[in-house]
Amino acid sequence: MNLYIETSWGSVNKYGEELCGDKVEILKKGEDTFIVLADGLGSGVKANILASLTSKIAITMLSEGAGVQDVIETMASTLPVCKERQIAYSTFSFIHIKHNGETHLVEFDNPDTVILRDGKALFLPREEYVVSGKKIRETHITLKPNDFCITFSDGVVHAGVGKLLNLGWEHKNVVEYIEKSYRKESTAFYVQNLLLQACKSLYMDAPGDDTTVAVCKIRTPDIAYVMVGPPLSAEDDEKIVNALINFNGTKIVCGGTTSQIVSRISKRELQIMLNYISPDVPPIGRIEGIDLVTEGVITLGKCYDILKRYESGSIGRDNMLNSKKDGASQLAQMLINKCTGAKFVVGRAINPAHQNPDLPISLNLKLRLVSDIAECLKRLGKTVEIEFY
Amino acid sequence: MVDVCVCVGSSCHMKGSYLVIESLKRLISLNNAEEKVVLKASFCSGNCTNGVCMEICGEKITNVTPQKVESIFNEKILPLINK
Amino acid sequence: MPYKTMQIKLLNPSKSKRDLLEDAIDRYSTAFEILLREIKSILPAVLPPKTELLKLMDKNFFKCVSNLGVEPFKDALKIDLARLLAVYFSKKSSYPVTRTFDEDIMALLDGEEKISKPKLDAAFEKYQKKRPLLFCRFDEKRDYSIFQSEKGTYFAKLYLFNRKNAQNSKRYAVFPLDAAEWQQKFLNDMKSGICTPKSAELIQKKDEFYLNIRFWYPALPKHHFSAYIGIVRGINSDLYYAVSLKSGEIISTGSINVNNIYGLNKFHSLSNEIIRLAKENKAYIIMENLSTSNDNLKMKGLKVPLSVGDYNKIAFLVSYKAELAGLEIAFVSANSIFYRCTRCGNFKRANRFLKDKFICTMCGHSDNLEEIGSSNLAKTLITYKNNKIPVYYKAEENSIVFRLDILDYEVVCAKSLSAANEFCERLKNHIALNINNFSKHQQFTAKKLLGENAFSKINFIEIK
Repeated sequence: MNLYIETSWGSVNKYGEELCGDKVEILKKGEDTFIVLADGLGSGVKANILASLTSKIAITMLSEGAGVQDVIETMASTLPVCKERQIAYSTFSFIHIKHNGETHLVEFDNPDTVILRDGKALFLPREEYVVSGKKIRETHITLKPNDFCITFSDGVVHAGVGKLLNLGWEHKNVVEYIEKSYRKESTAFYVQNLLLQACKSLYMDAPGDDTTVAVCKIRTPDIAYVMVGPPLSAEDDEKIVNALINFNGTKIVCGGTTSQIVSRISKRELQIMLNYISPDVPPIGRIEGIDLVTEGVITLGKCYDILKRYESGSIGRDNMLNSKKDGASQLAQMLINKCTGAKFVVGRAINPAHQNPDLPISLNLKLRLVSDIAECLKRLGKTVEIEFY
Repeated sequence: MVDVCVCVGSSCHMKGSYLVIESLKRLISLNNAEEKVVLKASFCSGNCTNGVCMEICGEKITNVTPQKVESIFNEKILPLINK
Repeated sequence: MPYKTMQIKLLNPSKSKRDLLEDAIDRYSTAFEILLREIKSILPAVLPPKTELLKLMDKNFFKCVSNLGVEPFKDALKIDLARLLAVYFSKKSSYPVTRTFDEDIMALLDGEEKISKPKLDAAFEKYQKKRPLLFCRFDEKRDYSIFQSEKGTYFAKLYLFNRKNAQNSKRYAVFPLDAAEWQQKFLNDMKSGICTPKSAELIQKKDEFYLNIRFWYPALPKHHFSAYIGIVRGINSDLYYAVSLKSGEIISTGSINVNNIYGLNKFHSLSNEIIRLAKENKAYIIMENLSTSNDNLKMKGLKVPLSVGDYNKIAFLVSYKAELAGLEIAFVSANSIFYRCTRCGNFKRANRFLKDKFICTMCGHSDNLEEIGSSNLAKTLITYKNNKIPVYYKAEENSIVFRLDILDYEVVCAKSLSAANEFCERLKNHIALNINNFSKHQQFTAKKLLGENAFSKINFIEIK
């Protein structure tokens, strides 16, 4: 089975530094996912260069099939030697996850990567050997859906040093926190962001070191087919609706007229739910076989607001992603938590009412909203496609 | 049975379908007419420029505003209930 | 009714004055015992109400002590007797003896063949025992009073004589008092009217004479408070406090610790410090109610300096000291204060970390546990006692989004000066239409918002 690897990463710079001395590269090639996290020696520009070179070289060579030995030798000969310290140095963690979950993990001098299964950290037996004077730790494991792979730089392990915690956070405590805050429906973004928030708080907003977290969540692929708006040409109606009905994934319809078309062609009744959860969001509808039916433009606009709030990382009381049940919230919940990607099928028919200058809605607005939502989802680690009709 | 349908599509929503529906619910309850009136919502009856759109037993009524609901109720729906 | 007692020494009375005092005490003690024995025969089986008891002690009754010259102490003797009898009736023990005379001792020795040692010891123990001389009221014309000379020295004026043994035709004598700094405080309070002197007792300890004066401090009208101070059990110190403004903003925190003092003195020190901090911050005192439930501070392997019992004792001291100082105090449930996040409200026990630290598993906020506990406690009354309901709002480009979490209600209004009013109107409409579907908790809040003054009941808080 082809698994979907949802990825997300984030960084907080050392206090006072403009450039981050940690670098993460993520590459998806075909059915493989490659991730590299590098932590450059020192901080600022030098560290940034070291880390960038390391991660770039590593990801390029690995994705081309090079062996670990080759990669390290190349790095050793490429990295500029620091004049003061007379060494060229950057840590690295390579993660290669195949479409079936087979994972190859290679680490040098970074804190141990954590694999989380059902909320508990797995013990990873690691093989140690030396290449070009570097002590490498390697492991192989097959990951299953809903497993998390969490890798981070030293900044996380030292969070709080000199402030709240004498010895810093310490790896074992970081693992404990990850386990304690685990929630099955968390996205890769959520986990990465929460860890960074905790680090920021422990450092009291003045990190003593560049702090980076990269997270992969293994998921069974679930693409959402989102039909937005009637196609320009009525002849395409049947084609698109059939594609929707027969789609292997989550099925979403956005739009009043659109849902009526779907109802007509699929010969299934469209019911509108009269209970307004939120007076500003139009009610949702129901068609048998469709996962979610909402109104169009207004719902999409509000959904985008929710996605932006989620992305801004204001987790906690400001993030009501999981609790509300109105059309926009349900749409956001589905796109983020349930699905690993979205395929937007956007009809370009113009609703004459929307041309009324009194109303602030238009076709352009709808199209713009869809593309904004798509970009946001991509940044959150989802695969997105848009088709126009 | 008296069928009352209110459009909740994009345009009508912006013109206040929510308040129209909530007012209707209240009026139906005040007149103890829950058994006699079926209140439904629909997505877009095709007359977006003249929202909010309502349909009472097949009769289309346009340009409904939350302020007009009570008088429309008394004029059109109450007689049908009391028949 | 908070009473405080002050003991003050009579300053170096001359020999003749000492004799006067000793004699007065002697006469009083003798009269008391005689009256005590006299009343035994006319006492009913059950303690009568005080007025009845006092009526028993009429002129006839006092005839038996007419030769002792205790007329100035008549009222005091009556009250003193009544008190002792009340105790006797409630304890139902043997009839009290406060003094034995020569005759009693002689009677014992001459009496039985064999005298038991305890009986003899008891008799000797009470032999000529001095009873504190009670002055039942502060009065310039009788009993006792205190005054200050022009030079500043304090004097006690004690009425000790009847007409017969009046000194220089005066029935009182004046004694200078030895007022050290802490007694000055009481006397100053008395001068400025903060407290009122009530009864007093004259006692003799070895060669010195003292007056024990009871002062009554009426509870002061409550001060206006502008902040809350929450005091919790500490981990690295005895106690920890946080001061919160009424808006919920924490303006200061700190530890309260007392070393090298133990037991009740330590509790007094700690409670005094709490009062001092509360006064300094003009704050309403919030303390944990640990009598009905625990604060769950203690964990395996964690040592907490103060036990629940210790904290409760301190709390008791604080409550009466607060009343004296005109400060308000409340005891609230401390159930989840040590694991509830101050930023997002998430209250999972898993939020506790490394015994004395805190990292929220929902939003990542981290802090020392003492800060979290004290902040939560200080803000307790703000959420549910404060009448204002929080509504969060965020300004977007052309609109303002309002959110009322309790009712799960979110609304977008046009960005204008009347946006808040528009919000209130729409909210009221929403409530009127949906109130029957609300939970009890929601209905409580909803009802507050229906009606004319909804606007004034809302606290609009901006989210950036």
